[in-house]
Amino acid sequence: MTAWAVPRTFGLPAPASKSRRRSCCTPVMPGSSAAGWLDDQTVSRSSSDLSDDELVAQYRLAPTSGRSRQLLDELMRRHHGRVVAWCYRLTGDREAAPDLAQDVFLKAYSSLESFRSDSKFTTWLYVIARNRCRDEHRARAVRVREAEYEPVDVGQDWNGGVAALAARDARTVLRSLMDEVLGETERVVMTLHYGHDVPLDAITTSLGLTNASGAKSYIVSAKRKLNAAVRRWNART
Amino acid sequence: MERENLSAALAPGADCLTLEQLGLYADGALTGAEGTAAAAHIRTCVNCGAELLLLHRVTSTPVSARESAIVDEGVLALAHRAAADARAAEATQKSSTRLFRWTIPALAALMAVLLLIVVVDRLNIRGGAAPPLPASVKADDDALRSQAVSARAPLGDQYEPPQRLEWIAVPHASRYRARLMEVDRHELWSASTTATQIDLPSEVRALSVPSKTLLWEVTAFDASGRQIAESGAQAFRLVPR
Repeated sequence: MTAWAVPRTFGLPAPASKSRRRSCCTPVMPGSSAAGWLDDQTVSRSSSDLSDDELVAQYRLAPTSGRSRQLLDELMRRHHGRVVAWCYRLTGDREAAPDLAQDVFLKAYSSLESFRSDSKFTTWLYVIARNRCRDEHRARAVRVREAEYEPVDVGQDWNGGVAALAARDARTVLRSLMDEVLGETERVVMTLHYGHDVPLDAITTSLGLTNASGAKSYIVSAKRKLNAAVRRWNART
Repeated sequence: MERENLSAALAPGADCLTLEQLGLYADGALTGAEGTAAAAHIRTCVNCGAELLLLHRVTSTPVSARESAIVDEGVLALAHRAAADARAAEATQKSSTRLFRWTIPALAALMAVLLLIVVVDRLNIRGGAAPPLPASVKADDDALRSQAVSARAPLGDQYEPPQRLEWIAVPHASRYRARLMEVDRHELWSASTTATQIDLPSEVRALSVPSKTLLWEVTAFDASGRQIAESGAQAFRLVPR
């Protein structure tokens, strides 16, 4: 890969080069006792010296051997803290994070055969975590919708424009108006929340939004702008 | 309706990269034409750009002091669960071992008992109800088990030819029949009496010679003439002088 083209509007850093891969996805846990727990050497020196890819490769060679459990334990021990942190960031739910992390590891155990070494093990784990957390959010959203609860209500005056759009026009019109009237962060927050089922708390945490209401205030302001823009668009057409 | 419209409008399109492809892209693992096409799409797609931004922020942002406590708590919870699972697995294994250790002997013992029952049944050694009475016996009749007549003399070695045969009285017996026999149960003499002894005639006593074993037996009869007891063969021998 030579031409790394990243949309400037999302403020993405340059993608990792091959030589930087090892540390790219490793969260730093300063002063954390979790970090101490992760560093606790409970398996043989040889296992702990192996890279993630090497551990997986050795596991694949003899998945039913007595050593295979030790290899898996070492893999998971390395990434426990990381996956708990990801699950918290992707859901914003402190209580659910350990449960989701456990699900992620169970899924990883059962599908280790599908891991391709052309991506990093941590990225592969992230994909599992992201899918699991999205499923969890969707399940919760269904329960919330069943209770007819709208978490972000911008008020009666501002509703109507978007809701009144014909379904066939919604995608084209809203995407065009979003580019026209929303700011960069508003677009990303709206897309992650409505298009990718990311909870508001998770967006606040993941994107490091430091304003008082976090992602919710961006949603409120974006919806007001969009509803107004839709009404103008309706008046024009 | 508003939520549905927003979700429909902002959902990823059919040409968007999958999460796995975005992961490969982030790792620099999409190369050549595939990588170029991915980069071109991401440059203009708000969905893929947002998902890629999320991946990068979630995996690369250092854990804050607040998050550190949450991570510690979660990791400890996982460690406790792992330890509990290990203990449960160990307990299950021990339980299985214990079960295996006791199951085999228990089954063997059970089989032995069953075998014993079958053997006893075959040998007709049964408890429970008595066999039915013969048709000739009424319910209010005295029903006596066939019993033995206890012989008293002569038994075993004798130094003089016996004068008589003696036995113990049998209840309800009104008559006894005594028989003297060779060892091959050939009858030499017999007689009936109502007493519990009977004298041997002199010619019969003369049959008792040294070193020759003779057998005798007594059968008891009740008043109706039904046999109610017998002694079985008793043996005696005149010791040579």
